[in-house]
Amino acid sequence: MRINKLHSRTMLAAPALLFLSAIFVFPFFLMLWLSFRHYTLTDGSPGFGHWVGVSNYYEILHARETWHALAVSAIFTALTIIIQMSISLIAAYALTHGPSITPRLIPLIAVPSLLSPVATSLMWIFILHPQYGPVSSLLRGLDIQSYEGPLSNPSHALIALVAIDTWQWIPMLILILYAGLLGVSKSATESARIDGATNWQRFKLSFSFIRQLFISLLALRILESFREFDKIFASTGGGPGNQTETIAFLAWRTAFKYWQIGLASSLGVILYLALFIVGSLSLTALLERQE
Amino acid sequence: MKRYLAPIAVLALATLAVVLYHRTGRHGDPVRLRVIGEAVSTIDAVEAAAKEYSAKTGIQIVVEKYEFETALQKSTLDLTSKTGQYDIILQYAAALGKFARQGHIFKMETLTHSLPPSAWGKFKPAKDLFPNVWNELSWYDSTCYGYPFAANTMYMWYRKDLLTAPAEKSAFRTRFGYDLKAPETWQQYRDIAEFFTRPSEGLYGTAIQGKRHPAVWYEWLNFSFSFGGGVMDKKHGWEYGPIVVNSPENIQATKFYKSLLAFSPPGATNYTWDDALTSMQQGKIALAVMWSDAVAGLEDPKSSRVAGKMGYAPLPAGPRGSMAQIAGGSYFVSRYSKHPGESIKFILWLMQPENQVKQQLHGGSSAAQDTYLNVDVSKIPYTQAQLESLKRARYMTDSVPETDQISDILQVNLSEILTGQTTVEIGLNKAALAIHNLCPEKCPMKYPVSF
Repeated sequence: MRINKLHSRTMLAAPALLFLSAIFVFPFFLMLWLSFRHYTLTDGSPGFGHWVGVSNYYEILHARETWHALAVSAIFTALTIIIQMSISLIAAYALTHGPSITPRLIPLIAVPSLLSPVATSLMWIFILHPQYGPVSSLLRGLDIQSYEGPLSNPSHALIALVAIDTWQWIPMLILILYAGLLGVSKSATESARIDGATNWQRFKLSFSFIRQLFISLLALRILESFREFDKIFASTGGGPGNQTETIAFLAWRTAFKYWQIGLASSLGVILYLALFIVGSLSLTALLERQE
Repeated sequence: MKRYLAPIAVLALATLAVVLYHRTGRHGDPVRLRVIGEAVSTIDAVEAAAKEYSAKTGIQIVVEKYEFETALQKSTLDLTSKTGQYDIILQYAAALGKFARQGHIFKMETLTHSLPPSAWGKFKPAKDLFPNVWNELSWYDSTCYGYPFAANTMYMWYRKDLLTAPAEKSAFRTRFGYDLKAPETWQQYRDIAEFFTRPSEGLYGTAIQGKRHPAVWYEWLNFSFSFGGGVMDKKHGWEYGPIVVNSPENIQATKFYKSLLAFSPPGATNYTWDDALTSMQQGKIALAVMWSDAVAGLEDPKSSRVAGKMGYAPLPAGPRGSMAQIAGGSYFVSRYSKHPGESIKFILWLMQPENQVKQQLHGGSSAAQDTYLNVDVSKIPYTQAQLESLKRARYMTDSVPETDQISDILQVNLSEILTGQTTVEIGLNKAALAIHNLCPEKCPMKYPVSF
């Protein structure tokens, strides 16, 4: 009887498991398998190339451009996370203490989050265009920006991308944190105020209620930022030179410009492992807090 | 277990039906040919012609147009995965080596040997086509794989209204000591670019296409070859040869090319051909080195402020003379096409002289010599410059299987050079070494590398 029940459950779960395997597990194992093969689309060899052990990883980890791309990804991620999370937390907190009309204004600020990354990039290419763009004209007039515009300047291009990413993500983060702060008990913060708590102490009290939400968002943003590709592809193409080439962009370039599928797969595995470690650490921190 | 048998059987039958449907197609369905290429005026011309062909034969033609790199990636992935989604692939010569060497596209001999003479109509490839163009665009290792859909080349666009204005002519003569006219040498080109660089008036002498993008590679090649440089020392695009990227001639050419940045609009190091065209259409540029398949948009008054004010001429001469590059592409038939016979018939129909003329009038860039003698075609303002450029055009872009990598290496290093991240010498040395590492045995270094 128990065997029959177990069998039925297995049969019921089988389609979902097969679907998940096909969508998530199979591509990963295919990538892992390819990462140990010399498989290129330019040498005319049939099938999926030949087994080369860990030599793809050796080559990738000994290439200067891999470490450069990892550094660009790390800088981009650190800057976007620090700026976006702090600004959105402060803004969300300010909104909860704003006038009663505030909730009605919230949908207006959400507009950037509705745009696709490529549309966002194209719009900012125009805004920052050194000849036609309003922002560049303003900055040039104030003499605080180089002549050629931020996306063409090797020192400013990455910062410009951080700014574009921030513009797109902040409204969404504010919305989520604002929703979280609305759930904070008013009596608790009011009691703190009556007890003479300073603004900073009341902020810390409110934050303690949304800490888990904040950490979840932080993890999500770290994962998103680290694998940034679309905006870079559409705006700078990884340039000037390779100043904005992230690890995800390098993996794309290796696969679709160099057609080195084995090498690109090993880069994909490295990217996956990096994201897995970051995701696991965030989740662990979250679970520890819950306990 | 019995209760699962029925759903499993239904699922299996449904799967079998789907597989059979895709393998055999439905009886009585019209033949449908799928065509893929870059979204430029040449494929628009093919699309316009396809409607006529469909009306005449009942064969449906679906034309898919994408941005340059997307079209290349989709074509390559379709061929390497052997999906056969596309029957006819419009791709540039740079992709030919990769496709041909792996047997992804049909040899023309395979497709045409059994065709009746009537299928050829009036098209006689050896007589009709520019031999240099056909040879570089459609042949790989002495075998023909297609017929050209576009004989693209680069020539000079200049503001005729500015260069013929009496006040400008007088001022130019006073400053430079010779007459203002369409430049015939690169030195004259730079003088004129300098003369017309007037940021306060929103006017710039030229527009370098300096973004890390294929545009910078193609543009730089014009300077490189006319100064006596190149990428490899060889005769044809499909060959390998000693690397000359870091030759003294290339160093001189690249320094000259970089010097034109001073007379380009701000941000030209993030420009592609699209940005250069837009600036030209806005009337903000006096001279540019541009593509033949982009020129139709410049002469369209709906999109251009300078329509009717432009002049066109072959590229100025460097120390090795005036040169033009062949960088168009061909119609290739996928080895995985379900309709290769219908595909080649459609291609041969497109190549008929009257259809070549129609395509040229729709913004095409024909490889057939007689197209340019047509009365209507000869009235187009840029026809003469295009014809002169095609006659002298030669290989500049490689068509070996490693071309994408070579292009990418040069894009990155030229971008670094133009944005001042490295010197011309170091940048070219780095590029030479990186290309050598792609094919160390076939591509020896001709010049020693020093950093």
